[in-house]
Amino acid sequence: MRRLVSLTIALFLLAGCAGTGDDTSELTVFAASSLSAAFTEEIGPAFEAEQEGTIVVFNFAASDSLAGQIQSEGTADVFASASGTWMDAVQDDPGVSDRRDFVQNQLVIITPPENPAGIGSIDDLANEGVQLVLAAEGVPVGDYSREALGKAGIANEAEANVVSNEEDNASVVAKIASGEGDAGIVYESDISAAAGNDVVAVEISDDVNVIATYPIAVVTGAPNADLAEEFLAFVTGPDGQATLEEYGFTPLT
Amino acid sequence: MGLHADLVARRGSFQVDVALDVDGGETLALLGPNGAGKSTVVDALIGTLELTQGVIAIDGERVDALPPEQRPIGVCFQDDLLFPRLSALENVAFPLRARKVPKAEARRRARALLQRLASAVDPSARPSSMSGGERQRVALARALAPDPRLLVLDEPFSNVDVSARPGMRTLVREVTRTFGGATVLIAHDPLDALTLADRVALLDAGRITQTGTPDEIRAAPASHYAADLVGVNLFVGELRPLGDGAATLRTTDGAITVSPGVAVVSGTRSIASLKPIDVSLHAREPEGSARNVFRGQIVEIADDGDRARVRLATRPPLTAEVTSGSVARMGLRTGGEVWASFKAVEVSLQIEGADSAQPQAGTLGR
Amino acid sequence: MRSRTPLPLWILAGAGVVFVSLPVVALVLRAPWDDIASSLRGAGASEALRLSLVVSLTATALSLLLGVPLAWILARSRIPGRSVLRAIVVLPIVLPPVVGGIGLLAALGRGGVVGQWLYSTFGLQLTFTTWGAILATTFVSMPLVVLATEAGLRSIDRRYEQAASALGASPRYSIRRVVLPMLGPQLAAGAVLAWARALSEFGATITFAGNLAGSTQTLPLAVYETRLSDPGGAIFLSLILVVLSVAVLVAMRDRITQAR
Repeated sequence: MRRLVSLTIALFLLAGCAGTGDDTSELTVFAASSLSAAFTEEIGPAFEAEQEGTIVVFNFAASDSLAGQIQSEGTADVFASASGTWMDAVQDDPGVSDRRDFVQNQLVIITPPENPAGIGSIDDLANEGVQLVLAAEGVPVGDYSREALGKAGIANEAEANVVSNEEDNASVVAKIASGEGDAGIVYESDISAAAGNDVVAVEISDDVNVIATYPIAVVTGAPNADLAEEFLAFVTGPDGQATLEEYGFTPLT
Repeated sequence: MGLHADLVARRGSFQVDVALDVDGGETLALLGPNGAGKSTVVDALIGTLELTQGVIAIDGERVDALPPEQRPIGVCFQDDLLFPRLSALENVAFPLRARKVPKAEARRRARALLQRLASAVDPSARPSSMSGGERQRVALARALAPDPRLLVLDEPFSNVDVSARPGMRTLVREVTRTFGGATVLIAHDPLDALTLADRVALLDAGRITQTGTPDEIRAAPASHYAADLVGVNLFVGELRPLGDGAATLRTTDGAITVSPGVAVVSGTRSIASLKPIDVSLHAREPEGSARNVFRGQIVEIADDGDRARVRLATRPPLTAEVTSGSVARMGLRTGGEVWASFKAVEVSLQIEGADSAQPQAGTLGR
Repeated sequence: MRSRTPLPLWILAGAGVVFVSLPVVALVLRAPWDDIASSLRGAGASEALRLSLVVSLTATALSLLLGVPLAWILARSRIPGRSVLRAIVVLPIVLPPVVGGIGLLAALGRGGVVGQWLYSTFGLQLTFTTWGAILATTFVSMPLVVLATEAGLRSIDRRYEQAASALGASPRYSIRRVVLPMLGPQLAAGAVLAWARALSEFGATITFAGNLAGSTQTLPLAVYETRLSDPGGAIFLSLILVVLSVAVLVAMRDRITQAR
């Protein structure tokens, strides 16, 4: 019995100890899941190479989820959101500094490779019997999708065709890529060549498309505020922007 | 007619090779020590165990190729094996319902059987609320329910309280006497066989070593086990009360004094048994309170290590078991005269028609 | 009578109780009780509750229908490869539910191995449907029924079945009248465990059947969707789940652990 208690305490300490190195700095970045490929594959390693002795730790999820975590946890240094709404929320509590928009993303319709429902344009999403997969309301890409459908004048018909509200854009892509559902709406960045998904893209004309502007900021109370500033500078600098363009985003600076 | 079985059956590395012939209305007891193969024979008769070779025929029809549920048998099991979730009535009706007898008729017949064999049991009671003896009565009723042509009673008394056994034996005797088919009784306790069977077959290491009526075996035991078997003193006769709670049991070859413990009507048939160890031997007429004192010639002394069995030509004949030391001390020898005594209360009594009398305190557990 | 339970045991047990019950207590305290009606309505509570009950009960029934015979084969038959079969059947308990969902997609999705045949021949699609949710839930619940039932079958003395057969019962009659009644407590325990698992099922359901209010959004999915946009609603939905579960578990009382 005594051994069990000692073992438990030891495990607790060990878990707590993980990640408190003194001679390496650790930057915690909370970023929308659409940024995951670009950040983990290129921007993260490039930043680490530039800033010797730094490790970047990423936390990817839907922006609404991240906002909630920041508000209750408070360990993030940087927040990169897919929508202004959730950045506003974090700005209210606990607050942000040096907020700026750093990249844009556009919506695109995706269908399985054979395009079984023959989707050619956004209007086809109102056709009877089309199985439409969207992200849930509250998830940025979910709200943007519905905004675009509204602009195209088919909000109600399309909503009636929705068969599933997914928790994030990756789930939407997964469903369509595996042949479930006839069409989905996600970001351009989700299907860029670098993302390598097995879907067919159907463009949304500019007049109804929704531009998602991504803000990025340093979270108030960040443990590594200086390092966070450096990260923001990198992302908005020429290298960062070029990488983001490679991954399907529209650069801003 | 009846049962004709000539079979070889194997369980693991153990093999039985037996021939059993039992007439309709006859009861054959299969007796043997633990490990002799009794349960293997039972399973072969029931059909749970397939024969390696041989036949089993009941009333002339072969059944050895049939699965158990198609054989015209009724079985009363060693641990009663009443179905725990069914009531007594449902248990007895089970063999009928399994044969698609309509529910109302099945219940009617079951109720009649319960009334006859286990009248003290509430038909709606579950086995868990019954005593061992009650459960065995219900199990017996259940075995008879499907009007079987072969009745197999597998050590039906092992779960029954010692004090309730005489009553159960009476019940089984009544059942087997009125049952038209053949009955095979598996027994461990020789007394069961001797009081219930017409013939006895002794089983040892998978083979039958001797068959015959109890008297035939008694006259010429062919094995050590047989000798132990017949060593039990058995008295069959009629009771005559003596007025002080005791009674005389008159057999064809003598009379003994017994202690029934209940009032008896003169002329009641009874079977009594007495263990050889309870018979004391004396060189001179013993004093003391023993009601049974006999004098007679020694017919045979069988030495068995540190104990000896002494057969006496008393009226009635008695077998006593004493230490070899006593034999030497008293100078016992074949042909010599000796006194034998035992207490009336040490005689175990089976009174016909009653849930009977038991040996008084002091002898149980010996 | 002095207690025979040593003090350290009480302390540790107490810590356990606090640890497990604190989240539930916190939910009750945090719930916006003033707003309860509109909150529940906004969160789609009645639809989610209806779906949860329909899906979990149907899945439990299916689990019993398929799981009990499966347990019988595992416990009683002599076919070779029983231990491999058991491992496969119990796999869903060990796998993360999402993995189960992905597997179901690969098998029964519109483009799945069997699914595409179902779709092209019968026009039958299981994803995005309530039946899809039921299937995904059955997938994770059935192992619980199989385990409980197999344990129960092994604990039943085989001689009862031998006795039944000697008394004239066909195997089918014997199972119906002798074995199943004796199996009652274990079956009930297995069914309750399966139902509890079915009620809380999330990963396989959302992966295979998707998430749509009214057809596939059971209570756990509804909680997940509303937790950030409508925390109050999410808390109420969670409390509904808690109340449902507690009600059944209390009704079962000792029978889950006893099973005799």
